[in-house]
Amino acid sequence: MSAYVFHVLIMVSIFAILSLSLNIIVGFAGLVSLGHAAFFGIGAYASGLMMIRGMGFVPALFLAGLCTAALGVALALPALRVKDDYLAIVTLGFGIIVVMVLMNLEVTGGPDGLVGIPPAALLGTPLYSKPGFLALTLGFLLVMILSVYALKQSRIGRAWAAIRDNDVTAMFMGINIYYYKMLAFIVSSFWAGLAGSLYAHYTAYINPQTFGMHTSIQILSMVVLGGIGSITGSLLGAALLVVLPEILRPLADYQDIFYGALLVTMMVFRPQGIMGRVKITEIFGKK
Amino acid sequence: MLRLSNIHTYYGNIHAVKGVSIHVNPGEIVALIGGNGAGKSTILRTISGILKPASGTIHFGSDDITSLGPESILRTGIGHVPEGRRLFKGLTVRDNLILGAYSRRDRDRIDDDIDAMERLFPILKKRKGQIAGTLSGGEQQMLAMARAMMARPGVLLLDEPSMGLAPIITAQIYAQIKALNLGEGLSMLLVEQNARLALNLAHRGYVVETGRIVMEGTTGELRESNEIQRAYLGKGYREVWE
Repeated sequence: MSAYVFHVLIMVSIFAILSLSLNIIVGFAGLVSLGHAAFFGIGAYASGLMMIRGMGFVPALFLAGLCTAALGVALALPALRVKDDYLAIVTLGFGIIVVMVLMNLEVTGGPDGLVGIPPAALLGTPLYSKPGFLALTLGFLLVMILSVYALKQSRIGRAWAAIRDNDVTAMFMGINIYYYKMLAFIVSSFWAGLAGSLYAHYTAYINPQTFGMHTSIQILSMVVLGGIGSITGSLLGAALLVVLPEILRPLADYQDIFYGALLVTMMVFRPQGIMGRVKITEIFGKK
Repeated sequence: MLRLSNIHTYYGNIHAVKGVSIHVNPGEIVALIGGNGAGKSTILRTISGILKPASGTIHFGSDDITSLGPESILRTGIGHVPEGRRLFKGLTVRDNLILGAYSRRDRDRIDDDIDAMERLFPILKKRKGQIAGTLSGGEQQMLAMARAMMARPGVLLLDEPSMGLAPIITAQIYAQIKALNLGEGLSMLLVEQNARLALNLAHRGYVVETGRIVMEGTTGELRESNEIQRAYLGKGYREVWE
């Protein structure tokens, strides 16, 4: 396989982590977030800055996740006082603020971004090869799929399902809805931060533009296209929306038309997304 | 067992409950009757902690639950079947029952209680995999009651169980409420616009008008009262008209 194929696969797995993490907020807890790329960016910058200052890859990776989760809390504290359209506006605003801050701070390199981020390294050996890095991202993706699946089946997942269905009733059932909504933001932003870190050490160069609204919408499209709430759907959505632009590359600027047409077609013919309520285990169980 | 003393509750600037004192004894069904907007549901919502009273106290057994949040109040043993049932309409019947037991920690006994509820409301067993929003109105009411029972409450707050149901279904629901009271000795505070139904089922009753208790007594006494007969039971008018 060529380096190009590995590159695409790495991007698929990083975006799969992102779409799965957004799916926790949007699909499981039924909230809206239009600023998910900001978490991706915070993770990328945090990890990049720490490694440039000499920290090892593994601690930088996890600290980046924790920093992002902390910012997730900082966003959720005011944002969870509102819901629906208002929550969408608050998260959108958060996304814009983060890009503005990254663009204007000296330590983040301003609009030029961070250059010369050291590559990921495991046990002291830097991962320069693309297959090696792909193995790393796939490993994280696998851990994430398993943990997200376990969360969905757990008491926490049940509380999220209740809140998504009807948050007032969830309160009547004795579910602390504020706590569980907050938890969705924490878990989701932690994983988005990890994805950011992986991305930063893969590309070695990051700038604020990558983490703007366009990326937020792209991640949300992956979740919606795959099927809100479906784990398999988020993976499929990420794969499709990373690979498709690569295939449509010869069309250059016209590819957005196909992109838009795809989403409109989906909304008309399968509004529940590719997977919808269907579970992957059901498809294989029937055979 | 449950005692409200001089409770005042506001919706923003609106003074909805104005100094209400009521109590429910163990094993008793107490009815709150009154017209639209009298404050009946507000009283129930204040008890279960969804609304905070501005002043007054609420005691459950020997505990002061006035300042507790809804989760803790539910855990002390007050179940609430809300007005309009408020099911998780997109989830299955079984998921609704499991969520009813959310406040409990004794996970292994939840399955037994689901079985018990399915014996009490056999239709729920038939429908267990079905999405709750597709149930009929009566079935939804049964599910709402069964779900509240899953928290093993000591007192059940029932808000308009007859709402939107055909008379024959209402009679069935009321028979089940009575069975819960007799079988489990469960205390209940019942809010109902249909005063006749409520006064036939309950042991005692309070009449609520514009946020105040204007009358109280055993349901026998209330049924005999001229005021009640005229205002709530629709008697006496014919003589006036004819």
